Amino acid sequence: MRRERVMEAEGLGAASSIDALAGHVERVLAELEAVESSLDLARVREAAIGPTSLLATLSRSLRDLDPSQRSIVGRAVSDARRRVTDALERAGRRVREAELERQLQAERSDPTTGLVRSALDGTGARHLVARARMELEDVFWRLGFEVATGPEVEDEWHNFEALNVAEFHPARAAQDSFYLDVPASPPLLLRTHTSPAQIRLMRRGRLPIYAVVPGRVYRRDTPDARHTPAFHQIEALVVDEGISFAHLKGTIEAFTSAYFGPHIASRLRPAYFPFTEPSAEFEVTCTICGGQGCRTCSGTGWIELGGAGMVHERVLEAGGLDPTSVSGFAFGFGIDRLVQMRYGIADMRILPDNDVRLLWQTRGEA
Amino acid sequence: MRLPLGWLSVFSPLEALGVTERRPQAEGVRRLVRTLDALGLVVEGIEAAPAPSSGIVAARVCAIHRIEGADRIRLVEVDDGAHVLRRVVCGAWNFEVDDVVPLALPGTTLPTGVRIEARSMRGVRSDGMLCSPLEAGLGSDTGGLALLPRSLEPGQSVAEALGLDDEVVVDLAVEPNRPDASGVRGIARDLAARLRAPFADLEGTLEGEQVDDVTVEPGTAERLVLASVTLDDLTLDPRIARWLALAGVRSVSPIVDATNAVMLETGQPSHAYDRARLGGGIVGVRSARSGERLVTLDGRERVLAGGELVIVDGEDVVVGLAGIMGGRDTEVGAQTREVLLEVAAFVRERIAQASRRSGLRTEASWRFERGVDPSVLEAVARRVGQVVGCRTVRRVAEAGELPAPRRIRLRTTAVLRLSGDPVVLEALRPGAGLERLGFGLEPEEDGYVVTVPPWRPDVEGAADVVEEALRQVGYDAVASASLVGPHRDGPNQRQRRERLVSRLLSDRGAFEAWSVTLVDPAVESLLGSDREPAVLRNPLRPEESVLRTTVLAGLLGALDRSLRRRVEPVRLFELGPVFWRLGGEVIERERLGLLVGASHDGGTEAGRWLSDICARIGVALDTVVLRLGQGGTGWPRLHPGRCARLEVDDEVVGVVGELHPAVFRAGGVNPRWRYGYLELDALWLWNATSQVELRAPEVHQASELDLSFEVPWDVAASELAARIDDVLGGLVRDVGIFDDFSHDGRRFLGFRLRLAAAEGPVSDEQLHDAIDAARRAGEALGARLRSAPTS
Repeated sequence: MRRERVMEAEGLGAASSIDALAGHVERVLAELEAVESSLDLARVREAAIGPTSLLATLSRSLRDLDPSQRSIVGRAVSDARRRVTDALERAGRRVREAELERQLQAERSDPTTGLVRSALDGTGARHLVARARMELEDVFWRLGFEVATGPEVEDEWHNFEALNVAEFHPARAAQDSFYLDVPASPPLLLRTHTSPAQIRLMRRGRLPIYAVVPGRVYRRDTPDARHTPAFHQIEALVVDEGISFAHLKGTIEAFTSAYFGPHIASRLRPAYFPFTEPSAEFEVTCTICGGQGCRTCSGTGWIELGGAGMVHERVLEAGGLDPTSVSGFAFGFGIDRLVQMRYGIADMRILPDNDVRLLWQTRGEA
Repeated sequence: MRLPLGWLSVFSPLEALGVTERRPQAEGVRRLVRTLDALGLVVEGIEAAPAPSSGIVAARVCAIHRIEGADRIRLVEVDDGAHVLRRVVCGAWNFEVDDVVPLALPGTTLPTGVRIEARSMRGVRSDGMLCSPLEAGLGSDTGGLALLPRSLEPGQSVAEALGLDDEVVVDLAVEPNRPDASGVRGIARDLAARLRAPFADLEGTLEGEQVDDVTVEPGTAERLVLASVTLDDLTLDPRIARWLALAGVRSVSPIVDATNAVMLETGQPSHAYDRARLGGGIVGVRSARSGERLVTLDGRERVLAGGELVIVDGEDVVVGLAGIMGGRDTEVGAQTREVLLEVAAFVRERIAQASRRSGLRTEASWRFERGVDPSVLEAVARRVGQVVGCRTVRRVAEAGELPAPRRIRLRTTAVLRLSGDPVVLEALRPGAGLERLGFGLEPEEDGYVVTVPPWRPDVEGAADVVEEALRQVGYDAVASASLVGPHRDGPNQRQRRERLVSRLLSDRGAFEAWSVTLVDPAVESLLGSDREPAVLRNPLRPEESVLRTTVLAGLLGALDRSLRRRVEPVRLFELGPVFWRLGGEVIERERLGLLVGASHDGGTEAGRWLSDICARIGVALDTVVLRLGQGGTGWPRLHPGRCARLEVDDEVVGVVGELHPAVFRAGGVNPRWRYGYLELDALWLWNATSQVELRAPEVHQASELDLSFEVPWDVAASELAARIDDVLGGLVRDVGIFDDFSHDGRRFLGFRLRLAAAEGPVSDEQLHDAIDAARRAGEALGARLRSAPTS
């Protein structure tokens, strides 16, 4: 078959070959004009320059021609090839563009469909209390504090005695604490505040102490809008040489402006806690009204945040420290209350309820 | 404590305290409130209590007539200072002719908000209304008409005649260490000291005709004063009655009201007995004997455990719970002619103990627990008589000595060291803050010897004195000093990882839960961790009576609520402690729990999350042994055919799998999704060695190799994958499962391996060897290689 074609070309002679070639080229060009798809294009390409095409046959036969004819036919072949390939390329571009256009016309979708999704689909979120805790930890890390922890099951000694809350101290009424039914001495209970961690930090025996302890605490309160049996506190403790009430004030101010922003001030007023002396209640500018006075702050412009004071001598002693050589301060407050203030939560019971319908609204972090 | 500001005037002139106008909004009142706050006597509320209207006048009863056909009301003719008698219909019966009572004239609005107009009752016109103490704004009693002093001129305004002014009532939160501030006296003293106003303390002694022998068991009371008051037409001072009512105390009888009023005024409780009903007409104090009985004033019979402080009469019969509540049998009544007043300073701890044991807390016990002032007992007894107009309060008996005042050495350097600002020394100057509070200061070489006044039992050491000094100069006056801690490291590995993992889980779509650590014992046993849970001795409710031994026990509540609310699928995680009992100890461990809803197989889904967690903290899974089956003791029981455990050094550090169907059956809800669950020991999670090391990727193209095995159900896919990885030497870059199906109980897994070699493209020979090695590895585990590409 191959052989026959060559013979045929030879037989036709140079002139007729060139004519045939011209005819081939014209046919190909005409066909390319009409080509609509890449499939058609591939077929035309095969016929035009494929191995069995006239162009290929002639190219192959060139070496069998005598030199005088070879150059004439050779030029004609390469002219023809150039014309055909150019045309193929043009047609290819045209077809590809047309095909893309057709594809783009045919392909439709609505990206806004992706926006309409179930609230339960997509990202989750950390708990509001955990987020507030992380922000607080960040602030205290910047202030050069370490973040420590303590156990939730405590013994009476750490939770009360060591903190100068004696057995018949009014602050220690049994109805406020959950006791465990475990024969242990001293009796075990769920810690009622994060303060026992103070004792544990002191008894670690490494001074100075600049630490905060965030954590869950328990009170035997019947749940209502403002109380849940478990909630969270954060406690700051500093014990070092020469620590004074002025340092306590300075640290609370530094914390307040770092956490709430520079426009929020803090102040201390006298209060009582068995584990500190002098003791103070600390208040911050009402974050709702900025100090103008509103319902949240009962018109005072201040919101009570937590307790503070100089660590009581007896507490230092219980911690194994010498009150004549070191002194310290502590302050603490409720984390849940911060969350409540920030998100305007009316009923605290929603926090441990873990209602997913509420949680999904808390995804955004500002 | 609700304090009518006018009451302060008993001790210090209101003008000197800056109060001239008694309205809540008046500048003087607002300043006073700020001063109270700054002193630590926090004002929680302010109310106006205007003086009774001038339309309420004194009226003398001239005649009382029956009304035909009425047996509850009568017609009263009163003289109100006008020329003609006024006729008023009245439903009270506690008065007689010549009594002087308050009359509200028509057009008057009562303090209760009721407007009085002339009207007819039973056809009789009533031209005004005769008022009870409550209606007249004089007190809280509603049982009958207020009986006014007979000396009042008819027609005179009652408010004016009795000296009743507008009042402002402030609600004070008194700290438990300030027993003195639980009375007007202490509050006035604090204010007067701070505002440099004059202060007139309670004074007076009793006239004594004889001092009877009285029995006070040692260790029960520091001092005891008994006094007698003869009840002879006594009435409570109307100003005091009004303050008492405004303070929120109900009126009982003049003498009981007087003891209540003096308690609020001085902080010192006292108790009035009907002396005739006391054996021997006297009382003493001793510890109760076990089994003794007493009916208290609230009508309850109490059987004493023994050890409580009790008041006994001269015949050793228990007549009261000392410092807490009196007995019913010796209560003052209408027939009482003579009252025995008991004013005592009981030992604080004994009252606290008895109050707790009996579960009875009263205004009196609250004050005794915190400590009263033993130096004013006589003055208090005298004051009780004085406020009801009794001139002679006679001493009956007295026991105990005034304890020596506490003396505290105060070194100036220590004061400065603790406060950090020399401004505090201002309060220590002669005549300044501390002395005005009643503290004595004797200068010494390097400081002072401070004598603590008897009304401040809370001041025990130098730090307490410094607090008093700071309170007087004001906490605001102390300049703050800045302080920065020495820690520069920020979060440690535990804290960094906790944040990494939580962030990963929340980004992947899980919500962090904060569930209750107190759970239902039934849930505990359902989950079958086989640990003995720590049980609460005093739970609030049985559903929250044991500490959870697994995080799942806490999360189940949230899952159950979600399912009931038809909110699915739930994805929740929680980082928190679990607890279990070990003998007399309670072990506490932190764990991570993760609950994920999956459409098909919860166990596999949970496995994916576990893989992500390990990847995020850089822990290679081949450092952990994964075994199919339950976690065993300490771990929640999962679906038995769909669970695995993680082991490190033969210790279980986590479980992964699908929730046991029994969990839902017990909850009574049928989920539409299958729930995967993962629980990990947080210590392992925080401490596991991270193996993040970078390897330059090969320049050559990798080869993919798909291997299909039939794998028995007791072989973990992860184990087979690890084994293949192991036997193929350094050739494997990645193993994934691309196909997982089961048929007729047989399981087929398709692994896709990505192979690469450092020296060049993976050759056909290497591929053949790899397939052979994989086949043998599978056979060793009982898995049969089904198909592999031939070249």
